[in-house]
Amino acid sequence: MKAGGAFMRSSVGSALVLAGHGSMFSAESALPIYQHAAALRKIGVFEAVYECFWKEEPSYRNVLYEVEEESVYLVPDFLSHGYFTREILPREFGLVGPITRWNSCEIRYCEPPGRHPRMAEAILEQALRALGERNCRDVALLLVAHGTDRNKNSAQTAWEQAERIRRSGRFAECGVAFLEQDPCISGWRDLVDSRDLVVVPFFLSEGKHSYTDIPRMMGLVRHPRDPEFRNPQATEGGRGIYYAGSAGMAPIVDQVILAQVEAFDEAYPMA
Amino acid sequence: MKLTQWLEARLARTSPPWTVGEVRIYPGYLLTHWEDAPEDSRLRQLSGWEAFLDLVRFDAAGRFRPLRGAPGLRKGWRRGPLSIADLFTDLRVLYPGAMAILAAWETERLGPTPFSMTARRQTGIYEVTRQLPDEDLPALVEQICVRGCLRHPLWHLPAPQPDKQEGLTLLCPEACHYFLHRARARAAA
Ligand code: SF4
Repeated sequence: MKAGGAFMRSSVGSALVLAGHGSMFSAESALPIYQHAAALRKIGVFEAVYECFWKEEPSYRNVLYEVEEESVYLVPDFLSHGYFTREILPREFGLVGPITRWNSCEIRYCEPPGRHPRMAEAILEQALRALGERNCRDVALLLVAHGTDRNKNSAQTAWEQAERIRRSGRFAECGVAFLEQDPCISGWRDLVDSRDLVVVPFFLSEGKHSYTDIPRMMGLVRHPRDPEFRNPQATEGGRGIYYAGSAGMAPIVDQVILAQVEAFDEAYPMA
Repeated sequence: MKLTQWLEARLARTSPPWTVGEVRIYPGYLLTHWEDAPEDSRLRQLSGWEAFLDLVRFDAAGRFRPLRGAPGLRKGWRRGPLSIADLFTDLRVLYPGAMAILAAWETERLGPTPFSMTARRQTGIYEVTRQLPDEDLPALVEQICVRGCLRHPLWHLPAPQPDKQEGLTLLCPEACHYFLHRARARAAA
């Protein structure tokens, strides 16, 4: 964040609304949104920070009753654009474009944090934590996203972040795999050449995909919730797998959210 | 008027303790489950937002409570003394949006959305809620909202009567996601 820059000036007196997905079944889905909101409240850049959810409370429809500030940065707390950021959120908030007037307030609709170049730092943060003392130079980083043939954005965002990590030269290589499209994570052995790899789930929260689906599809003996789980996991052929936390749970993501707000102000300076 | 000022003035209109859903507010401000007494030394003093969030998101058996308005808030805790701003924040965690919605209702800024409009807006897996027969709605509201939630579904039931407005009523201006989820199952059946 550029202290004293345009962002710092325009955010004074503004509110931040973080719009997450949430879940009716899993308490973990909303956790990163609560954590990001708490961290951003503490920083004190915004007059107020509000969370809202598609599947929990407060809803997208109701949260604006709570907002008292005249300028609102609405950040979809998602990793990529898709159905929720392109259709549900604009519809539920009544957005008409990047800037919408709602009663006496102006809603500034920002990009999801997952798309910002700094999200690569969150992926690195999670990977390095899983590696501990291990030197990352001879380890491959494998970014595992959901992917769906119905929406190309989710995969594209993962590829873009992987390319940034590749260019950073921090890891021996950086590959991408998906749960529901090719290249599928079950074929991980052919996706990276390095003997050892660190797997970073490209998800906002921990949940069934990160704890169960990816480890199962990779054929790992233990999943990260197993009390016996340790990094690295040994696999046949002597390859070692370090399993990291989901990218969205990295503490740096609150900074990435701020960076998206800043990027919005650069694109649409306040009058 | 700021929402915290509204709450302070709103509380001053009636004598304490004040009940909101399953909690009771005592002067000071102290917050407990309505069945607990604030002076009970066995109550756990809850500090920190994470502990409080955990308290409201899980029931006594550790089950997730996606619908905060559903009865089942755990007992045995106390919050406070709190400033009016912190009290407002706590109420927001307990019953998200409820105080702001009540303020909007009392200042005639709240327009409930009929179920037909909510359903018409839906796409994807909830689009099917448009097909919910009108005659099925009252039974669903009775089962989900009246028996399973402390909020008052303004979008379906008549508005709360003036005498009831002395209390801090939990209002619901539009069918929530939990309701849509159940309505979807009914419509698809
Ligand atoms: S729709 Fe019904 S269940 Fe949902 S919050 Fe409103 S009153 Fe409660």
